[in-house]
Amino acid sequence: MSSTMRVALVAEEAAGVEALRAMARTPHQIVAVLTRLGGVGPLPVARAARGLSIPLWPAEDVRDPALGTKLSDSGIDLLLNVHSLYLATEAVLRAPRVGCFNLHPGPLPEYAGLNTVSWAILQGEREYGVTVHRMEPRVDSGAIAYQERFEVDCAGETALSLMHKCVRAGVPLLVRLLEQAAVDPAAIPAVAQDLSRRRYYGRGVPHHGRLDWRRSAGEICNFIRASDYGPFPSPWGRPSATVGAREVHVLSASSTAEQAGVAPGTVGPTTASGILVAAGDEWVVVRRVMADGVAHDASDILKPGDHFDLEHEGRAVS
Amino acid sequence: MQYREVVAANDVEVRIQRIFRERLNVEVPSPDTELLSTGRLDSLAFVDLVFHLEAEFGITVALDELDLPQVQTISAIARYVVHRQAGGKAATE
Repeated sequence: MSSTMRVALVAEEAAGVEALRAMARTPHQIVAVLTRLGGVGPLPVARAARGLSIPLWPAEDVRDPALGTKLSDSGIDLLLNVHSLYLATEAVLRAPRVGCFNLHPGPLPEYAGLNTVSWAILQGEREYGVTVHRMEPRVDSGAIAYQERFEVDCAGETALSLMHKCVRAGVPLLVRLLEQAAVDPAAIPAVAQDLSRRRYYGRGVPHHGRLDWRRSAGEICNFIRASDYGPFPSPWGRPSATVGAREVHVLSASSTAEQAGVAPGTVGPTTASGILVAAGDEWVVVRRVMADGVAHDASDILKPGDHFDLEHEGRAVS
Repeated sequence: MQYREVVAANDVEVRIQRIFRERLNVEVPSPDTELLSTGRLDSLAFVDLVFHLEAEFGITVALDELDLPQVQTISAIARYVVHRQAGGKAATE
């Protein structure tokens, strides 16, 4: 026999909107949405919740033990967290009858923490995944309820496209969780994570956000794609390098599999799709760059014979 | 923009509006409705939109060529599509 679940959804970003809409289509009741209600930038989850006439509570309340009492008094069965970065207190984590679960855009235990889609692309992963797990005081460490893995397109995947895959695979896992909780909460899987395999990623940006042309073409292109959220802001910014005292952010590039044979950072000839720049091993074809805050075709900014500065520990090597 | 391109853009606008309504389940009242600030187009919907634009118009959308102003409204997206259909450069080609 199935019962109607009473849910508190803690959510941010486009993924939070997607989860909210998916749950609103189920017979279960979203009692409240906890999300950012002010500050800089758009408030997509708050807007979507208002459109569905669902009460809004401030997201930061999850840090307040008093929310635990409020959840209990509201008869909350499940608290679900989707891309919200506030750490819930233990009183909150203990309050819902069935439990608190997080949708993490990465395979656990290998990719815990922040910006993990970007780290996976940077590291050339061929497989990635998304995880629904029980929330514990330690971030992304709780027992796994559901996980789905999928292939990474090694040549073309960007942070944006991989995040898209995570949400498209992950939101149905939350719906599955709701359905299972409604039938038999005790049957929700709870697979303990092997924390010896845990890797946690923080806020830091790799290589201080700087492109080192002495690296391989593959490493350079991975870094550029790992920072690529299309026209939307990237948490890592866009990798930059200096050419002729000018800061240039590289927006898109791909490897050519052609040996460069010249010094790394040397700008080579233009091609039909961009302009070549020598990496440590092969030519990279650079298509789009940003200079002075404006996006350009790379060949409008870079000229054959230019040289990118080579840097060491953040300083140019003379 | 030439007269022929204006007519083409209007047709494209109608078809893009239909993509929003039928594929993305998003109602866009007018081609000049702001998509980003009104929450009608977010990063996830953007990826879906690109997929549908490619299928509907037989073009290749160069993600790295699209800046936010080009996806602010259906009118702006239509101008990009017409440009691409007319053989305008895509950075990834």
